Amino acid sequence: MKLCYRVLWRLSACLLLLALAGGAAFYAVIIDEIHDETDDYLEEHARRVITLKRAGHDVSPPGTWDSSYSTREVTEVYARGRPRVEFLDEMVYVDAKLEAEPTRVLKTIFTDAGGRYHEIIIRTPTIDKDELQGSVFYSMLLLCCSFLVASLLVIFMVFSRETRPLYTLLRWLRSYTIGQRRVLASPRAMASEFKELYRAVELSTRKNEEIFEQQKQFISNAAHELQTPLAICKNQLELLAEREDGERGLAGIMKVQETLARLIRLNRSLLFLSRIENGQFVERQEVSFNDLVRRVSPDFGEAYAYKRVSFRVEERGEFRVVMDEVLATSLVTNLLKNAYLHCREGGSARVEICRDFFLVANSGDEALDERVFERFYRPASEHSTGLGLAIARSICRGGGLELYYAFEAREHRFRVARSEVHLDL
Amino acid sequence: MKILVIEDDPALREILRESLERERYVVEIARDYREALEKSETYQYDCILLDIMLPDGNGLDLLSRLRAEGLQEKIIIISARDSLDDKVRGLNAGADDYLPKPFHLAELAARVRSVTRRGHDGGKSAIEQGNIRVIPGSYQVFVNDAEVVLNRKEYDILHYFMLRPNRLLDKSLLVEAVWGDHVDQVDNFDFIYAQIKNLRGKLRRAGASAGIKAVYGLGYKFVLP
Repeated sequence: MKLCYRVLWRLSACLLLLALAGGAAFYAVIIDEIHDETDDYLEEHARRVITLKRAGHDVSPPGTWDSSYSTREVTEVYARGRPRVEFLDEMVYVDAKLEAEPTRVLKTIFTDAGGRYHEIIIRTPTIDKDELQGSVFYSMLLLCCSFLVASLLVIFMVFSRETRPLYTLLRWLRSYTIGQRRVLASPRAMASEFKELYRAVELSTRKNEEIFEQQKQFISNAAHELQTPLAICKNQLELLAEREDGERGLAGIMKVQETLARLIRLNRSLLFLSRIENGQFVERQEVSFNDLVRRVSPDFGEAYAYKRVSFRVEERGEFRVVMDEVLATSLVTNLLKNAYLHCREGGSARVEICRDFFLVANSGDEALDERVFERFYRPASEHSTGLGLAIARSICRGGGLELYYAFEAREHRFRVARSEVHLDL
Repeated sequence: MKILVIEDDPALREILRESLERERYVVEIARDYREALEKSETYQYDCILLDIMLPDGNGLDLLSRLRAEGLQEKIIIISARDSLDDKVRGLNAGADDYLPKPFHLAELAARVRSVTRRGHDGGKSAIEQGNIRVIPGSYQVFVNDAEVVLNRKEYDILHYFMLRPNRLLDKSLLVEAVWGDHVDQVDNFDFIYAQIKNLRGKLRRAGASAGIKAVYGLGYKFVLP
């Protein structure tokens, strides 16, 4: 859930609870106030009636329901068992209205001039609590809801505005790949936490870029520095081989030469990889993978004929990409070589080409893990530099492509497709 | 023919000298930029091998300077940098060829032969060894003036051998040269044996005086009579 919705969700829950509590309190206060007023009136009324009674006047109660009272004489025992003043809520049937109406009742005991005990009961109509409850509840609900909606809307707007730098930063991070040197433009006005976050991100990316750059430079320099000593070894061996006549000597030289050739290939692949990652291949043109496969696959067929791998190409469309042709060729040859190399004798390999992807598959027994694209995942051997798939992936990444691996239907499948850009958040 | 080798690494310098002398070239040595400039301005060479990274200067600068001064010598750059960029820069500066390190000595000899020959006819004329004649322009092969029909790979192999007579060429070198860089690291060379066997057969039947000799497990040598 997005931060904004999360906050709004929490806020609305809290606000709703607060509004309910507020509504209840409001209701209680109103009821209390009404009772207070009514009771004051009743007390005053009772006091008047009692005064009159004590003075010996006969106060006959008015006949109406809305302000009636009655008195009766009671025994002392009863009088002593009653509280001095008692307020009650009662429903009284009103003939005129043909329904029961809520009334507030005051009961109290007094003694007249003769010392006899009387109980007086005074009634006055009061408000209908159910009605009040209902109306208070509904108006509170309406008030709360509109207040809630309005405040959430305002909060949403303010929040979206204030968190905009966060989303800008997230978008930037998502599309960021190390080594591209993209500048992080920070918005002018933002909260200090965001400013700090921007600074931290900028600092850390800059540091990473530096390390990355140094690493790249180091690999490139180391590989270049190795070229001359490698040339010396190789050429010295060649001279030795030309001078040597004995079979044993030549066989020894051959072994050293083969190992040296591996070293040279490894170094060359490292250089190639660092050149790809440095973005040094920039001759972009439209390349047809169908043509490439047609051009290079016969050579592999010849070179690996002894493995008796059955190879077929399924062309269901043309896969065309705008990229450096050297890289495209290297991508296709690396994948094809990988398929032949890791296919067991008598196995099968195939290429599938559509408008949207290019797939190289070879038969296999069990899935490889996702580290298959890491450098030296398969250790370098006399037949492999261990860099082929790393090179293939680097080429894809630099060329707006994505390289996927899957093990399906007892096949290792390497699929090259245009990468989809997810920038929306 | 006289060749100037400009290379700062003493070991590589000696190897180049020995290898080129074996090809019957007269070899002169320059150890750094200053010495190279001095020698190339003072003497005339048929070909100059130029290392780009010199202790006291850049080989490319030297190249530009020599060209600016109107020097017509054939110049081959030998460099540890082998990207297309470096290559293009070198050729633009006026080099005739560009050979990245590490290279095969046989390859170097072939390049030297190629650029010095190019001086006369642009490299298009026939290459002759013994009674075999290869015409690169039309991909034709003649033995004693009778045409021998070869398939594409056989032709490529023969052409490669013709430019590198009497040198020991190892199998992987041949594979890379004829089948392309991407077919390196093969673990079985049967496919070359097959092509070479056919080529040998065709040459023998046509009565060629030169032949391809297998050297133990190491590779092949194109042996002239």
